[in-house]
Amino acid sequence: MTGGVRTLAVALVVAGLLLPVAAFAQTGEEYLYPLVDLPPAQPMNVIAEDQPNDSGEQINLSWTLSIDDPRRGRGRGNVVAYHILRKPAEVEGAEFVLIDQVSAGMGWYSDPNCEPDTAYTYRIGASNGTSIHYSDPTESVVSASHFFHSQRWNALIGVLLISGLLVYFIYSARKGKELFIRRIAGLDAVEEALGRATEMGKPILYVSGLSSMADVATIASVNILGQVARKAAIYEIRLIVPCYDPIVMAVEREVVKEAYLDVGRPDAYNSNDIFFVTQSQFAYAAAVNGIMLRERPATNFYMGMFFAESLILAETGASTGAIQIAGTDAVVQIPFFITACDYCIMGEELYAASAYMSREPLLLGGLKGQDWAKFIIGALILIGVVTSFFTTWFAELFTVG
Amino acid sequence: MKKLLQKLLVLDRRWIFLVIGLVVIIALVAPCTTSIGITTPVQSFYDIIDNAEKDKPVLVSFDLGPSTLPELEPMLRAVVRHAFLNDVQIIATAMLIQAPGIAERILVEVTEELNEEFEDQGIDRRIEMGKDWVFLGFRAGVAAVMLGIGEEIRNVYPTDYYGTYLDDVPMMQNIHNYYDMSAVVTVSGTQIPESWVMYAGGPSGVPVLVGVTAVMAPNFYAYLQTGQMAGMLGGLKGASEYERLMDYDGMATKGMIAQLWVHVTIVIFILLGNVAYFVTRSGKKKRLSVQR
Amino acid sequence: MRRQIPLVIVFVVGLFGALSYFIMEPVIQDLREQMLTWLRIIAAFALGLGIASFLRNHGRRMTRQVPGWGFNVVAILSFLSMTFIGLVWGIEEGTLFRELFDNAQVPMEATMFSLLAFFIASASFRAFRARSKEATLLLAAAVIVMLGRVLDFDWLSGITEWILEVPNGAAQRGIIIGVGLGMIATALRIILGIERSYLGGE
Repeated sequence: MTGGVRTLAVALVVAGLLLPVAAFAQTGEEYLYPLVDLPPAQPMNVIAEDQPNDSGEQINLSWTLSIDDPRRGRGRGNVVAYHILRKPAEVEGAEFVLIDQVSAGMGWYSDPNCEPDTAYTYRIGASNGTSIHYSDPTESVVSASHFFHSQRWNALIGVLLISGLLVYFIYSARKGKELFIRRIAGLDAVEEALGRATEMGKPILYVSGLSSMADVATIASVNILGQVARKAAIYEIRLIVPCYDPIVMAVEREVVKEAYLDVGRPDAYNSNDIFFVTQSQFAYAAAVNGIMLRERPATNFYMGMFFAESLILAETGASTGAIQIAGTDAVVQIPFFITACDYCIMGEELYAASAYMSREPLLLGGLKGQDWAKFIIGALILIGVVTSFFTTWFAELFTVG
Repeated sequence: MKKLLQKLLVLDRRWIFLVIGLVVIIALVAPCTTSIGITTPVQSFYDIIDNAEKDKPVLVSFDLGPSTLPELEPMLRAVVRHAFLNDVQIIATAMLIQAPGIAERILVEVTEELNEEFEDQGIDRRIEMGKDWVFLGFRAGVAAVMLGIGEEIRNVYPTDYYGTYLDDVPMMQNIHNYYDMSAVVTVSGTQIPESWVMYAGGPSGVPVLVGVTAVMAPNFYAYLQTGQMAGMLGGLKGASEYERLMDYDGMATKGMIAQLWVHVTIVIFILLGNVAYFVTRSGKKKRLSVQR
Repeated sequence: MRRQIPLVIVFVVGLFGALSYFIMEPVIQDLREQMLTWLRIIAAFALGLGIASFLRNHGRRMTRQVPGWGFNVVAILSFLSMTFIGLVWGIEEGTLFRELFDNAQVPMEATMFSLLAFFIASASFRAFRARSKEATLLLAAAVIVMLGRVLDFDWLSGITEWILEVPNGAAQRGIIIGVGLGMIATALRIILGIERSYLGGE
């Protein structure tokens, strides 16, 4: 072997030994690339934290991406996924088990399948598809179950305070305490509107809004319908109720049927007049407009939750010359109803309608409680406004987590 | 003149309908342009999407029906486009039964549009379903669905709209609930945005961004001030502001011209109505005093 | 008994719903999750109830040939054909169902919605008259907001935003607080079984 060839052979061996080492040797911002596919660098700074205020099922993990993650745009860029391994910290002999994997570029993971009040440790492995390089295990962290949501004390106090007030006034009403309720013109007009329908021998149209039974406005509307149906049964007026929601329809049928039974007119009840139309907003508006133009009701009631169709309904109703009484807690629709209807019941007046019309003391008691709650809220707002000039702690008391 | 004004007071509403109709048609056909300023709710909306973390998707809920589509589609297109251009992934849902068809069409169309644009400009990027967006479809029971997503999205939507299990959708691998999302966007002509505030924003703290019809917009200013809604696009105007921020000449910018002229026409009608009211009223007063 | 059982269910579920917002115990949260699933199932069943009522109502009018019964035929035919087309050929992008939805239902509903523009014009023409001080204030605010939403003058946009955010926001908030309290009161009355009209009768 000549000297030159020997030198070359030695150089090759040295280079072969050095190259993999060089792969990890940073020169400024750059890497020397290896000739062989080595496992990517491990992810760093892996932190496991308990999810606060949950029922103890979740631990959140975060880590700094491997230097070889394509998103970092520096190293080999060969990370394809991160493997998440978990083991219970307090079980002897337990081993790390793969629970999930996330794609490269993700620096966090929420483990939603923890056993409550169990300690776990995690390792995150950077994988290039063939080999994996794992991080050190994290500190053990307990997926603590919190009996009470620590950031909702204020909401609980508020609910208890307001409920307490309401219950107090409801039960003091039961003891026969006289309660005053101011006049609500729209509700007083119900009698007049029904009288007009009787004289004209025309039907009444009752639209209970475009929402579900989960909406308090719909419940209030159903309560008013009960009162209206009672009077319609007495005066022998036909009552047409086109429904937007099938469950509301079922409830309304029951309510109207009971009302007719109560006043001793079960024979006059016609379930066909309470029917489902459609759950498509404007198809519903078109259908109700059609009923108005064909049946020419003497009185139209719009009670409940309404949206953009409110004016389309009310304007068409006005053009047929019907008396119109509307009631909604949809603030945006109130101006439309005021413009096109004869009477408008606004906001919470709608909820009060059932109490107002039935004069049931227990229901009236609730209204009194509401007034006191409003007074307290008003006072708190005032204190909030004044204290906000100096400090924010008072306002922060009302932040709900 | 007075007679004319008296007639104006009892003007048949069909004349008003005719004038409004003509103004809209002419404004849409005529080659006019209009410029608009940017309002704070739109700027905040834009900033949140613009600064969204890349691996935290935005949930866009298509809570609209076909009726409000002409007014709301421009903002949906603008927001989806903006998110894709910023590499922000989208989880699309629908809270109304009529919405899935609309949602799918918009997502597919914006994807195709952008892919064509990328190709034309020689940009090596493609928007893909499963990687950039996932469409989950409709589930009945608005509040229950929203609360359910807050617990674990897979409980409500085990699969996407096309039947693929969420665990098999690449972008959904690490997404479980609102804590894993940058924001919730709801576009609706209904009260559904309030439910998102109550059932998503309130419990989890995720920013709720709303796009609503102009009629509904005043309803939500109170929520904007309290921060319960982090941004809002109100009607065509909001959408056109958004387009302007994106420097994109979309549907809203074109529609604003018609809106401008209709508003001006209504104001003219109102003013004429008032002139007629005062002139005829003063006439009546004089007549009454003469009779006395 | 017929009345008592629903009242007990309402009481238990209502109280549980309120408590589950505060108590994070796994058992409670799991049950809450279950209840949300039931809620979704019930909501889906209601659709069947609606369809039955729809078919019965239109079918009855059609067979009795009440005036305008042709519309009832159209309603039933549209419903049946859309259901059939959707079930047979699917509802995805590019199917006949989607074509019908995009090219028939969307324009029809959009037409109904766009009527609003005409009704708003005629209603505002009638309503915005300076009959009193309050009405004049309302009229001025309406004109400013209408123009401020479309004209690009900073000062006008500023006043518009102020009107929407401050006086409008204040009024909205007042009503929202009242509505919120009304909701709590109504919910409480229902949970306690004081308000029973929704069950039928007093």
